[in-house]
Amino acid sequence: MNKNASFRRKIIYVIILAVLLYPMFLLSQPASPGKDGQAGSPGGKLAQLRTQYGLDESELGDVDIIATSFRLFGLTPIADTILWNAANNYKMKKDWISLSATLKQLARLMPHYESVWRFQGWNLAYNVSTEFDDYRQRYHWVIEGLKFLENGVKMNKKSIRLTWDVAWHTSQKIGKSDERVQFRRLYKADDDLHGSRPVELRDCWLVGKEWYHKAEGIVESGVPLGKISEVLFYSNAPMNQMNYSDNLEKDGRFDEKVEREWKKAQDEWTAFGNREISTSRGLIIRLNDQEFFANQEEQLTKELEEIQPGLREELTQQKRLKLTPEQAAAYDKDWVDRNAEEINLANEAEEILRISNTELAERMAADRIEHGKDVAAKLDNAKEQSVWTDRYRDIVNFKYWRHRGAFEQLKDVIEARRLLYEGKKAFQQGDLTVSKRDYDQAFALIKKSKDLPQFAGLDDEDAFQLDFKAVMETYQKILEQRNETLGDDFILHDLWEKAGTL
Amino acid sequence: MVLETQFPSVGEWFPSAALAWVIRIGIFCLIALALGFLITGVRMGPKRSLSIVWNAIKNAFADLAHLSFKRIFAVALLSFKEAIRRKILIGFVVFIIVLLFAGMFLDTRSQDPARLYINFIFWVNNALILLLALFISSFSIPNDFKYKTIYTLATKPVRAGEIILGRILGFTLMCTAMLLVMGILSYGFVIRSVAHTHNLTSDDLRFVATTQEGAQALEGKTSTVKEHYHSVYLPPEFLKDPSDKTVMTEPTNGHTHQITLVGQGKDRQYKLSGVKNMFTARVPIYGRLRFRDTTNFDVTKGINVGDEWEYRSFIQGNSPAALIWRFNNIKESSFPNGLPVEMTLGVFRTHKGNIERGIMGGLAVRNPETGLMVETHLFESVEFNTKRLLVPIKIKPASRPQVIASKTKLPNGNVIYDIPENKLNQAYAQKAEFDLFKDLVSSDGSVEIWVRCLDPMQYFGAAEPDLYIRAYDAPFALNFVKGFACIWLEMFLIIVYGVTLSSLLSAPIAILGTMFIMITGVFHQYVLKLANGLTEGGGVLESMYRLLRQDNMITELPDNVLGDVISMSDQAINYVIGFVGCLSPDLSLFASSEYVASGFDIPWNLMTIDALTTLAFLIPLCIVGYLCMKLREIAA
Repeated sequence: MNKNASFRRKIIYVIILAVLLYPMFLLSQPASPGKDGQAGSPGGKLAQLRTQYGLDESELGDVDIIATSFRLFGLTPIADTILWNAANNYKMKKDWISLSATLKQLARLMPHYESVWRFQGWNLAYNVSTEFDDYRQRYHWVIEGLKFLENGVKMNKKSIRLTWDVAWHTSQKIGKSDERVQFRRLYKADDDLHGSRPVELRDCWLVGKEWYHKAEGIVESGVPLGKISEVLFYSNAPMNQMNYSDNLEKDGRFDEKVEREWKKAQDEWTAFGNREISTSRGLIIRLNDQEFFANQEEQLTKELEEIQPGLREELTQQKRLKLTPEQAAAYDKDWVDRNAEEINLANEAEEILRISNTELAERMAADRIEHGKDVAAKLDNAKEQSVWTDRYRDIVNFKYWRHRGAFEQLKDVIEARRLLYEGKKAFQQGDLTVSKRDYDQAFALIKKSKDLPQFAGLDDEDAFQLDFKAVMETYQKILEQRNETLGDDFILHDLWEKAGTL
Repeated sequence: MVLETQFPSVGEWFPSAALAWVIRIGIFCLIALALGFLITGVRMGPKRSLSIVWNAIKNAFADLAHLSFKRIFAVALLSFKEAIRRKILIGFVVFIIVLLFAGMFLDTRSQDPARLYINFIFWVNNALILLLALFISSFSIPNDFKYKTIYTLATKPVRAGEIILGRILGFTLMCTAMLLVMGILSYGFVIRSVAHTHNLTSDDLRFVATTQEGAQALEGKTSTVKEHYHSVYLPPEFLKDPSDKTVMTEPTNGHTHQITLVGQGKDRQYKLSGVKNMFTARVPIYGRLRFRDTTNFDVTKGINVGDEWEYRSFIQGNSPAALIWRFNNIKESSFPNGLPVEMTLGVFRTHKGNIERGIMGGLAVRNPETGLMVETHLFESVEFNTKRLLVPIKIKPASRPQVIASKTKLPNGNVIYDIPENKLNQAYAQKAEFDLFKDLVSSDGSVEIWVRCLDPMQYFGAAEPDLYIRAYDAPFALNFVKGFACIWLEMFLIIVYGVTLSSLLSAPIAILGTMFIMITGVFHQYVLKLANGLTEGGGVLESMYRLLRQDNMITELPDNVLGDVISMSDQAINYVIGFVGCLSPDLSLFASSEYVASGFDIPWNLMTIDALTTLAFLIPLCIVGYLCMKLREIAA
């Protein structure tokens, strides 16, 4: 009897286990990739959720047994602390091989912590690489950092930050560091890194742009940008195109391709300017719209004032009566002569005297109020749009790059760049006559181009002046070696004077 | 290889170590005697206690004199069988599983895979065998008491000391057998894991002209295997007569391959050997390092360029500053082809300089007896890589030879010279060619190697082990065995501790005690620092106080009673920690995997110190074990 009961109980347990296996299978079946063109299995619910949230390890081959075991036994925090300390110690003691191995173990333990990948990717590419004296070794460690980050992206397919980091490191570390000439050369020749990528496309700015587009793709798929500034985020890819075009000239190319690439840069910048961007105030703006709203603001201001001319002055007079004698005295005083107390009083007075557009409309004659309110609302909107667009434009130096993109496409400017390149080369070879001649010709072409009406204001831009200042460094050395000085008759004297104030 | 602690020679180490050992054993014996008197005195009166203690000492010596190796071996055999019965071989299964999955977490792209694999395999062996030793040794005697199997032994004419020694021997034999098999498997694993070759075909190579006459060489790269390839350069003379010269690929990931040519013309094939120069056991001769500063004075430290790690000291370029290593006992018979110098220099640039090349340096050899200094090489530095230079027997100087003295400024301002200025003979330098051993090595075999940085405002840095003379290469397999011998010594110590503690304590407490000894042994240097109050953040209570208050490590303790109590308590705790520190061996001395992994021969010197340290712990622990066993027998 007892024996039978025990046997029956065991059979029931086995059946329950077998039944439970089915929902477990449905939940945790790993995904499998398709073979020979056939679609693979999406896997169980957990695997599908992993795919949905862009976490790797949804396929059986990706599961890291060691990391999973550590997680299973709750040892991850202890192992992390030990490994993190070990990594710091290896870095201090310049044991780079152990550091690299430790970082990989660390990343395996916490494959979905963005900060681990980001911090250590940066560490390898920026901090470890600079420890080496030989630029080839430096390059090796920059690439190690990049590969580390790329592995991070593989494990976190929907991470905007990590994808953006790969783009940033590829672009900025290879393209803008002190060793950029050597790095760019090694990067182009790196068959292991690029695989089948054509040599023409092996430019850090272009590869970086691809990664920026990947990051944009993640946002398009519905992943929120979070705390990342939208205007900066979307400016990166077109800026990379600008830098690519610029570097083509620095590498000594001045053919139609350069013109084409600058055109592309300008088009991409324009497209960026047409993109809707939300501001911290909640407004949706487009950077290209600033001129439109500024113009609209001007017209509507005029229109509002014309509805009931003289009303604003009248209201101001009325409000002035409300000022205390001290406030009035402080307000009337020249601002440079005001003391601290008077500044406060003047501010208070200004606040009292301020007449908003709505207030102005509301104080109009009854038959004009509706029209006034309508215009005032439009005016307020135009002003707000104009101000915020202008503010966001400044973040990415929008106006300058819009001008620059168009400016650099001009045949005269490309020729000027060629002359500057040749002139610098001639200077380095000691041919002062040729270099001076090339520079002078280049300056004449720049002058001609920048004076075109569509580039009015270009030479007021700081970035343009800085670029010119860098060019002038070599020119001044040429003059110095020829025992000449820069006279008032210098063709770009105005620009030089402006640049001198920087 | 980084060597932060320089080991003294056995001759230097032994007298002071032996004296310290004798003093500690003496104190230990005195404390044991005093306790014996005290306990028996309290229980049976002072008169009786004298005779009891005297009898105990007499019996102990009698037991020692009558120790039977036959009986010890019989107990050892019993322990061996018992260990097998306890499924100790399960350790093998764990080991095999670890080896099977090792490839998954070892990075094949590493720049030095040999180092990675060797370090890993030593770590696994060390951890596994120590854990096994810990468990089997700590469980044995307590289980004998628990399952009453001790009566089987106690009823036989076996002495307490024989049981202790037999247990130690038995478990040691068991673990040695395991370690032996694990060692053989590990060696095979390391060698097989990195073994590979590459393909090289005519398509991978292109002709390059090397001379004006148009002699052509071939250059290219091999196929990619294990995520790396090698650059290849085949010089014209090799292409003409392949038997004339040995050509190797460029080193990548710490190894090269030898290239051989088979056939001629279109049928020519390129064969690459397996990995070469990956597994080495260099035997270095280290010198004593001093620095010459920019004012020509010798100092013990160079400039700190801002590194957090003060291992390397730096010298300024384009100045009289130099890194100077002095070597002794350099004999012509040992170096018939010249001095093979290997160095790893740190480089610090204060400005970008010429980025396309390394910082230039000069290597000179100086005779400390005559002051003659001859620059033998001008070289381009490669940081974090080993630079190999051969100082030939016949030397044509790279710059004007000099005869100079070394001078040191004493704290009182006086200056001392190694050679008086009036004895410097400039005539020594008036030669076009110099003989290394006749001109530059002194009569007592001393020689100095000077390294200078030649680029202005750039710096070279070094620590003492960064430059050495490569005496010869020992066999790698032997070095691997030496590495395992160090693990064996550690394992033996743990067994001795385990058996000793388990003779008095219950199994779990014995395990905890032995584990505690292991941990304090591994962190021995830190424990000593803690005991001497040298750790950052203060002692145990001070740290705890800061943790609770979330203060940082440099915050002062409160200037009140609480602060005083914490400081005083910490001092008392530090005494206890210091005492415990003395009970445990410094296991970091046994960590030799870094030598094997970095391709350096484990010095016999270090192994002798390890062996003597083990012996130094073995003797008192056996006595303690014997005494405890005697007590347990009486109780039983």
